Amino acid sequence: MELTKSEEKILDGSKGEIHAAAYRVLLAIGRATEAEKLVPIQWAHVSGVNYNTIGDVGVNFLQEVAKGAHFKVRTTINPMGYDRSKPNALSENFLSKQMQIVKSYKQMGAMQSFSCTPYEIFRLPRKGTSVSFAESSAAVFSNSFLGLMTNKESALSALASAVTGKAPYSDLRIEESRTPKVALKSKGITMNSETDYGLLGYLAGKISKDSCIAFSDLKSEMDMMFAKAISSGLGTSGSCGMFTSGNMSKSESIAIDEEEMSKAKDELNTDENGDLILFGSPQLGLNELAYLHDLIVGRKFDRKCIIFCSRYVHNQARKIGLASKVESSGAEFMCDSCMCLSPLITRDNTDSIITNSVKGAYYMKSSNRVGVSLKDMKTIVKTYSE
Amino acid sequence: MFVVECRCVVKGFAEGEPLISDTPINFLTMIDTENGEIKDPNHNLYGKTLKGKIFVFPNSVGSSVGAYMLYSLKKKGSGPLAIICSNRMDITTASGCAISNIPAVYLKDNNLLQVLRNSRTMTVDCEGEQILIYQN
Repeated sequence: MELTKSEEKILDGSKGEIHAAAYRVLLAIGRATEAEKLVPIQWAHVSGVNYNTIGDVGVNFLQEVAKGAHFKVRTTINPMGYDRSKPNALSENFLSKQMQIVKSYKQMGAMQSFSCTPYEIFRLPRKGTSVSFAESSAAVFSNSFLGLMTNKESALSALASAVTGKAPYSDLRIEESRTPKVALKSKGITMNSETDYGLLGYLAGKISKDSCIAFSDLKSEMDMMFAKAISSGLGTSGSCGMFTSGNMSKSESIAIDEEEMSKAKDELNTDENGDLILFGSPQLGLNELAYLHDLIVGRKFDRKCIIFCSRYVHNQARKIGLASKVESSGAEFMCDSCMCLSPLITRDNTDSIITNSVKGAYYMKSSNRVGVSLKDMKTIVKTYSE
Repeated sequence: MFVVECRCVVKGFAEGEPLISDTPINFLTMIDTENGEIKDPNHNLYGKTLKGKIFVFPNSVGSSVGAYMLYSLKKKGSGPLAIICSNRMDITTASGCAISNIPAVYLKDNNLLQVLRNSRTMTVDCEGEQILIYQN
């Protein structure tokens, strides 16, 4: 990858160690994706906000970065560990470390979004705009549905792009690379619910070796809930950053069947039932809350139910009376955070959870180490409310 | 001795034993950053450590926070000597290695993985874009 003279100077330390490190990261990911040059980006979305994931090493690292850099472009950040407006039983240590992370990001100029669905909150740039999104589900969603151009960035590569305002011109940022080489045929597979879409994405992520894949039997117009589910499933299991829907005649085809789908489900669905219902991975949007409301109206959950959504969506839902209607089912809202790697749900306090999210199921099982009952929202409401 | 061609992503030089994973790695969920152990019970290298090894795997998958896990491994002295991606060098691995100064390369041809399997020790020469394989 060729750097300009001024970029070379920064790499050599003319703007200090933090900027030099940012360019070292850009150089490495540029080489990895065989880029020729760096291009400007308009928006960075950074992950690595939850203390439960990045730990003390991350706290200290971000503190150092914040001393030497300020974000050059609009930068939004992923969920953190808990809801700032609610009491919780977390340790003093967790709270203070989490606050230090938030402080570092704020100091660098990040918007306090605490969301994995920034595309539902912020004004969207026009199609074809280069961005740098680390949250895997947001990268896949933005490439596949919004026409934004990002590679499947990492927490550190998106941070480097936020600091420099640049990213490699490579892979999914080049129009020609956005045509998939492999198409997945899912004919004969019943696609009824968000959980089916999540599982199809999860399976596709395992199969695909490229950064873009086609689903030849899906329609490109897709319910928002399904779109979020398939994007997050794909982001969870693979290194794929985009998909297309519809017949791609030139592509090589791989057919998948019900058996493979149920095998993928068996991997994640470890328990028949659970003590706690979790919705919102990715965080729920207004339309999903409205759908949940339609299902639950007049009924009450027979166990604890937590809904993860961004503070922005929660406030909107509050304003139009939707939040309180949903709460009358006994469900409670949790903002700023996400079920994945939430420090509030551990093996010590929970045996197993019930969720409709394939991504949530994967992280609950593999990181939080609790059992999972994977069912779609409609079935969850039908089974666990009266 | 065999020579395997590779592409350099993060410069450096490392010599040691390989630890080869045939399946992709999710650094956030599969690796214990305290000791470098593979903690996913479903992984065929379960219980083995990448600490002090040349870690070979197809590519990383899943969480974008995996890059921090590579940095944590390095900071805690549990990191690999070098990384070789046999399928492709993904951005999570590349950025994590760049920040941690872990030499990182990817194979020009993933069929060359077979050659790596037959080796006890190897030298990763990123600058020279070559991996030198010694059989005993």
